[in-house]
Amino acid sequence: MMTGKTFANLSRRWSLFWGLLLLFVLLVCAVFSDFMTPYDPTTQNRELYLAPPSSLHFTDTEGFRHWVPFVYALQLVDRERMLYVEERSVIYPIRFLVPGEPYRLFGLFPCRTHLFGVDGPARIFILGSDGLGRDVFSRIVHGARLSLAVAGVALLIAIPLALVVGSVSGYYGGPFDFTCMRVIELFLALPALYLIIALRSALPLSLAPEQVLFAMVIVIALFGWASMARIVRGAVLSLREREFILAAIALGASDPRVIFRHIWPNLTAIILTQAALSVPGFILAEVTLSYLGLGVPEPLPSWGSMLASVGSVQQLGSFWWNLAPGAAIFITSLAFYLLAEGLSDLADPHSQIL
Amino acid sequence: MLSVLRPLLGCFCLLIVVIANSNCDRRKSDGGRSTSTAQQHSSGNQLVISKSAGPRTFNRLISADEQTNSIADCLMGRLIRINRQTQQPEGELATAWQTSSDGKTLICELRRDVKFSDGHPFTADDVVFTFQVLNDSSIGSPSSDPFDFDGQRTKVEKLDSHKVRFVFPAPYAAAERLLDGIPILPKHILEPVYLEGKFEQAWTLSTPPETIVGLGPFKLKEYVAGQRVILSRNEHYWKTDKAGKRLPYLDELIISIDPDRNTQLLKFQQGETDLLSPVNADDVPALAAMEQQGKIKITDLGPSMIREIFWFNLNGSIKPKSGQPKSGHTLVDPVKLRWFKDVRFRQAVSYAIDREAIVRLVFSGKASPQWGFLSPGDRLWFNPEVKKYPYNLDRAKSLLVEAGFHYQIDKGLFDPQGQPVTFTMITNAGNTIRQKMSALIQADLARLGIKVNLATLESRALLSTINESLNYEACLLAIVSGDTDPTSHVNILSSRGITHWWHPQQTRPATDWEARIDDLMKRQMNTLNPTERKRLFDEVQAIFAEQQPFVFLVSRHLIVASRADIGNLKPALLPDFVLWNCEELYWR
Repeated sequence: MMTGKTFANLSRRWSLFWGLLLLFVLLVCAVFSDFMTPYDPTTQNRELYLAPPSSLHFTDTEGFRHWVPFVYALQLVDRERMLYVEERSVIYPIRFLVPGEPYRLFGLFPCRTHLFGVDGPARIFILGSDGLGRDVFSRIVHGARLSLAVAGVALLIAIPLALVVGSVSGYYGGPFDFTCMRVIELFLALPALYLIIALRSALPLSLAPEQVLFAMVIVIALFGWASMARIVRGAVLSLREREFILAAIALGASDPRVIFRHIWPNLTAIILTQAALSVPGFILAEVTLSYLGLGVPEPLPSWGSMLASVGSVQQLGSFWWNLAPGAAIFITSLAFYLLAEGLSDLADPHSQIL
Repeated sequence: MLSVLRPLLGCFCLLIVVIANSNCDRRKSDGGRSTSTAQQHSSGNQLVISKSAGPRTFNRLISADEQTNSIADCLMGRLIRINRQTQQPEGELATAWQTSSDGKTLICELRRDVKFSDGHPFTADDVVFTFQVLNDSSIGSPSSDPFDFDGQRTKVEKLDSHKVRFVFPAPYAAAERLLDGIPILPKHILEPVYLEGKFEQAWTLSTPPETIVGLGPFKLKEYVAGQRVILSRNEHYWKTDKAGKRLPYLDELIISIDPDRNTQLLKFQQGETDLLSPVNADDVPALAAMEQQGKIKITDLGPSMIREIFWFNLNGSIKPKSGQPKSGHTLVDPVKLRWFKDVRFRQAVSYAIDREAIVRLVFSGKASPQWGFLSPGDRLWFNPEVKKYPYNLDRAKSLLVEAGFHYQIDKGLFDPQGQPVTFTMITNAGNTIRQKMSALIQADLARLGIKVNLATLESRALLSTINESLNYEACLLAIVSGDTDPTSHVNILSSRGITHWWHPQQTRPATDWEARIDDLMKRQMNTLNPTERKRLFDEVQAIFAEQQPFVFLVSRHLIVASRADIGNLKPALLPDFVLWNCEELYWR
C-alpha cells in the first residue's frame, strides 16, 4: 500500500528527474544553438515572411514512399490573405549534418555544419517564419541561449549578494539587520518595471546589443537578490539558535568561522531551491522587458520581442506559430519549478531521495 | 501606435510667420447659403465610433491632442473649415471673406440667424471674445501660436454685429486656413468665467454637460469617464440640407473609448461600433470577409500624411537656444558627424534601403514608398519630379567609394580615416511597426557594410532626446501634417524650426541648401499667387529630396472601415478622417 509520504517522495524523485532532463535539453540547445538550428536567427527571407510551419511529407505526388521525410518549396500566392502553396514538382529531403550558414562554435571555432537542413531554395521552417521571414525555430533555440545566459549571470550576481547580506544581518541582528531589511523592503516594494525603464533611459544610447544585455542582467539581479536575502536571513536567524551553532560559539569559534563552516553548509539546499525558483522569474523579467521593446535590441532573438510581434488578434489567429516562444517560456519555467521541487527535498533531513 | 505622433501633431500646425507682401486675394465662399450639399435622408439613430483615448477637456481652445480636438470639433463651430476632401477652405460661420491687398487684413462676413446650442444668438462679439481669450498669453492656448507673429498678436475688430476684421502684424498667404482650428466660444457663458480668471477650469471633464454650449452640430449629453462620450443632436444647429431639413441627421454620436486597438477591431467586428478609423494594415484581411458579405465597407484612401522617416543627427557641438558652444562637448562623435554631413553618405543610405520590402513586410502592401518631403496624398502641393532613391546597392556603394569610404573583405565599411562605419539608431519602444522597420533597415545597411545598433526608448524619453538633449546618432520616427498648406510645414523646413530635427533651432542656416529652403519658404509665405507658391514649394521639395536630411521611407495608407449603410461618409486624409463632416452622416 502506498502511503501519502512515499507517494510524495516518489513524485519528488520524478520532479527532480524530469527537471534535470529538461534542463539538460535546454542547456544543450543553448550551448549548441548554432549547430542545432538550420538557419542563422537573423537571416531574413523577405519572400517567405509569415510562412506556416513546413509540413513533412513521406509520400510524393507519384505515390512513392520515402524513408526520409521531405519538404516542398513554398510560394506566396495571395499577399492579401498570406496564402502559401507548396511547389510540388521538386522534393527536398531533410539532410543531417549539412553545411549551411557559417557560425562560430562557442564563439571561437569557425564552423558550417548544422544538425539538419534542406537544400536551397527550399527552406525548412519547423515552426514557421516570422514577419521578416526569419526562422522561428532557430530564433527560439537561440533565444534559449539568451534567456538562460541572462538568468544564469543574474543568479551569479544575486546569490552571493543575498548570501552575504542575508547571513550577516541574520547572524548579527541589531541595527544592521534593521537597516538591511528596510533596504530589502524598499527593493521589494519599488515598482521594478518603471525603475528599469528609467534606468534604461539613463544609460547611454550608443550601446552594442551585448552591452545592453549586460546592463539588463545587472538590473534584473539588483531586483532579484532582495527576496532571496530575506529567506537566507530567516534561515540564519533560526540556525543561530541551534545547539551546534551555540556549541561552536562556546568552543570559541570566530564569527566568520561560524558563518562559513557551520551556517553556510546548512543553507545549501535553501539556496539551490531558491536559485531554481528564481530563474523563471529572471527569465520572465527579460521577456517582459523585451516584450515592451526595452530589452534586448534587434536582431538578437529574444522570446519577449518575438512574442511582441504577435500582439494583435489578427496575428494570433492567422499566424499562431509565432506564439511558440510562449511554449518555450512555459517549458523552461516548468523545468526549473520541477527542479526546485525536487531540490527542496534536499532541505529535508529525513529525505530518502539521495 | 501613434503615441509618439500625437503630441507632435499639434506642433505641425504651428507656424512661424515672417512676411512682407502686397498682393491681393479675394475669395468668396458659397455666398451665404446655409445649405449642405448633403442629400435628403431620414434622420435618427445613433452612430458609434471607437477612439483610442478619451477627451482631456471639452474646451477646444486649450486642448492640444488630436483625440480631444476631434471630439470638441463636433461640439464647436468655426468660421472657416478646410474641406477635408477637397483640402480647400469653405465657409461655415463666415459666409464670405476677403483678404486685403496688402495681405494683412482679413474681413469675414458672419452668418446671420445662427444660435448657440442654448438658443442664444451668435454675433461678432463672440468672435471678438474668442480671440481675446486666444490672444491672452496667461491662458496659453495651443491654438494661439499661428496667430503670434514674433510676439505680436493678431487683432480682431468688430465692424458691425455680423462682420469682423482680422489684422495680422504681417501679411500671410493662407490666413483663412488658420481659422479651421479656432472654435467660436459663447461670450455670454464664458466671459464671466474668463473675467474671474478661471477660464482653464471651465468646461473640464466634470462640468455639467448642459453648461457646455457651442455652435457645432452636436452637444454634449453625457461623459462616462474612461468609457464613452455621448453627443446628442443640437436642435439649434444652423446648417440645413437641400430640402431645408435641419442637420445633423444623427440623433446621437457616441465615442467609445477603447485604448487597445484589438478591442477596437473586435468591437467593430461584433457590430458594437460603426466606424473604425484608422484600420491597421494587418487587420484588413480580418475585415475583408465582412466586406465580401456586404456588411461593411473598407476604404483605402492611399498614402496618408503620416510619413515614416529616419534621419541622422547633424547637430554640431552647439546647444540650441543658449547658442553657446560647449567647450569639449560634442553631441555627436565628430568622426560620425563627418559621415552624416556628407550628402553622398545620406544618399547612399537612402539607395540602400529596400522600401518595397518595408511596404510588403511591415505594412502588408498598404503603404507607398516615398522619397520626397510630401506624401503623394497631399494632392495640391506634391511634387512628383523630385530625385528618387529606388533600391540600388551598387549605386549606394559607388557613392560611398566616391566619398572616400572603402571596403575591407568580411569587415565592412571603413571611412577615409580607417574607422569602421557604425551608428546607433533610436526609435520608440513597444511599436511593432517601427521595430520591424528598424530590423529591415539594419539588415539593408549591413549589406552596405554598415553596422547599425538599435535602441528603443519609451516615447517621452525619445521625444526629449530628439528635442532637447540631442545626443543621439540617428532616429527612426514619423511625421504627420495637420494641414496641407506649405506654411504648415515651416517648423520642419525652416532652419529655425523646432522640428527641424536633424539640426533644430539654428541661429543661422548651417548649410547653403538650408539657407535656400529658408529663403524659398519665406517667399512662398509672402506670395499670394497659388501657382507661384507651388513653384517655390516644388523647389523646396526638390532640394529636400536631393539632400536627404530626412530619409523618407514610406507613407502608410489611411484605411477606414465603416458599416455599409452609413450615408455621406467622406473619409479624408486630414484629421478627423471620418467625423469631419459628422453633421451630414446618416443611416440609409
